[in-house]
Amino acid sequence: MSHILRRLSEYVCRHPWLAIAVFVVAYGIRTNDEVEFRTISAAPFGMNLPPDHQFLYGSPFTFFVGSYYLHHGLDDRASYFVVHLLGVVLFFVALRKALARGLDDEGRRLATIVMLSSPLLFVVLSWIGKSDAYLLAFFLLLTMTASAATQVILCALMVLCHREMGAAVLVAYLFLKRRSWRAIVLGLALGEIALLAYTRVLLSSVPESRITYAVSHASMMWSIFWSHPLLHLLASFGPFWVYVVTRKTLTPAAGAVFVAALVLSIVSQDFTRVFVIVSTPLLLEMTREAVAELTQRGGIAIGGYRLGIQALWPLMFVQVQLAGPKLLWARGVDIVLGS
Amino acid sequence: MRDRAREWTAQHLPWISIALLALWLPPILFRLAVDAGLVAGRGYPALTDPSTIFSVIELALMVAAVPRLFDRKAAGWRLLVWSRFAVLAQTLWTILIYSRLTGVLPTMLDRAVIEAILGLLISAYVLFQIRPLYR
Repeated sequence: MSHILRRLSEYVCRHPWLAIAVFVVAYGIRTNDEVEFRTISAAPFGMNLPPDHQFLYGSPFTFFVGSYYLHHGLDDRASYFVVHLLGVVLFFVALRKALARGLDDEGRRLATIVMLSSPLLFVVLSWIGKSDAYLLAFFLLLTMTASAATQVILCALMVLCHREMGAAVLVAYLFLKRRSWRAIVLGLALGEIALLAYTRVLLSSVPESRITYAVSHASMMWSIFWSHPLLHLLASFGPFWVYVVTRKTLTPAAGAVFVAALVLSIVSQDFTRVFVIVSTPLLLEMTREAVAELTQRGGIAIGGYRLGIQALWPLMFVQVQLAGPKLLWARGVDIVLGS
Repeated sequence: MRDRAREWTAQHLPWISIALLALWLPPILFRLAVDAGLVAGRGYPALTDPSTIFSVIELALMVAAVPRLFDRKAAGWRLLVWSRFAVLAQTLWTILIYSRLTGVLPTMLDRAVIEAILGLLISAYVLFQIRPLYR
């Protein structure tokens, strides 16, 4: 029996896409903001949403792509489906390419399993309708390109995907890597200018910002966090904590990114989603360190033991996600927390 | 074009082509699906309409070009040039039809026609500038 399990485990480690497929079946796909997508895509320059949803105008990328499809013959459902399907495909392509950088096939497979032990995959699949997949894909592509012009374009696109999270991911990346700062700052500035022009000049009226929304919900979010601090900590990195706590050293920059991601996610409505996306540069760096340890020493040191990836990969199926007062788990399981 | 700009364009051309395909393919596929009765919809051009035929040819050529563009093969560049000829044929067809309906001058001042002509001129310029980078 143990022989069969070991064989099965080795097979999954050689084919991470199999684990991803099982994850999709177990955790399902959740769609969001379909009505808002339809409304903004149909008339991207008209203010047609109530104040509590106007912050969506600060993330116009997917709505403009949707608007293009709507005006080229697709109906609203097909447009929503195509825009977000392409986003998820781009995310997987970019993830594969980013993880393959500097690694052989074996290293890339290890990196995929380690990276997906974080709630990243769960977040991408459960927030279809947001521009997260595009934002993450553009960031992953940014980590690969050496061309300053391409870096500027990708940074601007990230900000157009999500003004606040796009900027936060870029700042986190600068903190950790300190490379190409001119291109990143220029791209960030161009994205912000384009968004300002859109929301202040081109849009029929100025929308409510996310900051206004966050302030109005801050006390509720704080009380939820304060009632369940450990649950929040668990829902931040999820099983990826195994790789975080076994690092020998944690640089001040990495610590700063962790604290900043935590603070931003506490004040936002979707705790796990915001935390994971903002800390993606950190996830990427720690994944590379974990892969180096796994390949050089055959496993991650936990206590007196060294566990190989064959023992660690099932951790990717132990995911929870906090979104406002809700705890999201596998397909069909949503628990409302008391504050 | 300067050498660096040429190199950047050739390096990113497959990705630019993929991005354009992501924008242009779904409307055509949707149109084909409606025509085949797979999806509900009305008012779309028929499969036999020349504009649909030219669009399908253009996109098929682009799809075929992408893997060769990654390898910087001249065959990829040639397929891309042929895809622009398909666009040229489609634009001429549109001009012919619109001219019969509204006259030549209003047709030439139509936004879609101006965009198509500008797109063709820019893509022709860029493609011929980067030709030496493909073997």
